Amino acid sequence: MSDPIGRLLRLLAVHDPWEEVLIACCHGALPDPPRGTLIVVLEGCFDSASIALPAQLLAVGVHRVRVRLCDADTARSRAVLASWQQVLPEIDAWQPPTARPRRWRWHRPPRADQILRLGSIPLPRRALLGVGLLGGGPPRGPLNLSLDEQTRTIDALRLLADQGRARLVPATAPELPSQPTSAPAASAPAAPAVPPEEGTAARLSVDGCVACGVCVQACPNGALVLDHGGPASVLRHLRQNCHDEGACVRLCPVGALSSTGTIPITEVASQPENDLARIETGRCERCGVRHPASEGRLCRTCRYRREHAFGSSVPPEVLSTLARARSRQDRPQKTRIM
Amino acid sequence: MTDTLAEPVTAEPLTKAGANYGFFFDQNVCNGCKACQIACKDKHDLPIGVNWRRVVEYSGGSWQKDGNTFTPNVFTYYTSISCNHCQDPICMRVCPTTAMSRHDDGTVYVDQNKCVGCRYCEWACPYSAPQFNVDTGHMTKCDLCYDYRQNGQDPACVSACPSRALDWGPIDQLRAAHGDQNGIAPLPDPSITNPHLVIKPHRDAQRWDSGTGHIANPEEI
Repeated sequence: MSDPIGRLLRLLAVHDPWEEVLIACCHGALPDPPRGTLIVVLEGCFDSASIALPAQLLAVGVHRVRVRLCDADTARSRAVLASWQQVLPEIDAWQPPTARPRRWRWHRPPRADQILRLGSIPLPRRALLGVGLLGGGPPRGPLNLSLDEQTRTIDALRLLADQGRARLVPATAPELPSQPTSAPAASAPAAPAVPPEEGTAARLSVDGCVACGVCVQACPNGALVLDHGGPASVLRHLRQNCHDEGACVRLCPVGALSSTGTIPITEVASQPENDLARIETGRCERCGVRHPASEGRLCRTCRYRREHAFGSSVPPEVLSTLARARSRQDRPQKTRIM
Repeated sequence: MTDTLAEPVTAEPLTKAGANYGFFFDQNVCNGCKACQIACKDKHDLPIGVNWRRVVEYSGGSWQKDGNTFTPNVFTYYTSISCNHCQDPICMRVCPTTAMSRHDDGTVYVDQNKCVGCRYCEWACPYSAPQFNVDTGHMTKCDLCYDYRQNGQDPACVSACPSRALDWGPIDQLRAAHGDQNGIAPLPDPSITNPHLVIKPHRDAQRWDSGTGHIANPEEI
């Protein structure tokens, strides 16, 4: 898996700390900031940039992060920046020196070692010599670089929030039913057509859960947990592990799970876990599985088997689940993302 | 344990591609001792509630009163049943994750890395062969003792039967030797899955669709 930000952070970890990092859109000319400023050029347009980069940069000790917006679509870029600033108030926009025609003024282009392009970050020399840094060993610095990017970003945001440098979306963020990805409210006035920060975790809702645990087994990232304590079972969503794969929704035998879009990573950082459902359960006398207490002593499957030792049946709702599951069977099952 | 009883490990593997292995069961000599069931449970270390091989007791009949004489006309026979590694395995058809798979030799097994424990196969299989292991959350089932067969050994249930009621082998050979009867009550309609199973019927055996008896041990199945 390519992890360009991870490579960048590894490189930064073995160099003298940069005072300032300038995040630049891949479009347009390179800015010419003063010496001592590192320019990180995005792989794509700033319009689709993720807050993962500035959050992690600030968390690993970069003092100041500035942003050079895209020339092509500045309205969208400004809105993305506004949504970043809402979470990380320290970020500000880089203003190019105005007025003078650039070609004729005294110009000092950025040095080659001042520019890093995400996607083609050089390996640290120490890594080439096998001194480590590429995973393994105890984590160096505030972020564990062997984790995947989503987890690192969440760690970074929480670290910054603890230091009072980040404002995470409150857990009670208003959810707009008509709008699947609920936008942070403040970014809306900047430009109406602006996409909010792309979510990472699925926004799951549950209706009619029977605590069978299929979603827990189906999730390739271990993002769902069933806690059986006492007479009740609680289905918990570990949002920080969730990558919105959708296997849980596809495979739920009773169609109880549904996804209504994604959760922005800032909200995941502020509320990494969420209880989805609480079901009164008991233990099946025949197979031992936890099942809704209202079903009686036997779970549904065992009750059918007890009544029809050599019967063959498929519950009617299963047929629709099968169709749903098979429609996506080309996707790899049970594969880990990182 | 001494080596004298063990099969030689250098024997030819009994996992030939295309062999389509199945079971043979002689109802005439089975006395319902359940040694096969216990041998299977022991060999695979199955948890409580999971029995890949089960022995069904099927009983029925009545008596006639003729003057002061009661003439009984009752019957009971046993059927030892596990997965039949069917020709048309309905478990594979309903599996949403393709976890239910088939070896080259025709035996059906559960890929534990793919199974999510939805239990559709348990609902669908008319022989209730796939069973749920609550500790792992996955389905489990008979694989005809794949590891034993790789060493050229017989499956544990076949070796354990003291009456020699069980046998196994390529289904074509079994059918050539013993016929193709496999629709005996209380077993289901064999056309659902075309099981790789041959039964030598008990003298009182009834067809699957005209059984008059009942299962005497439903809680054990």
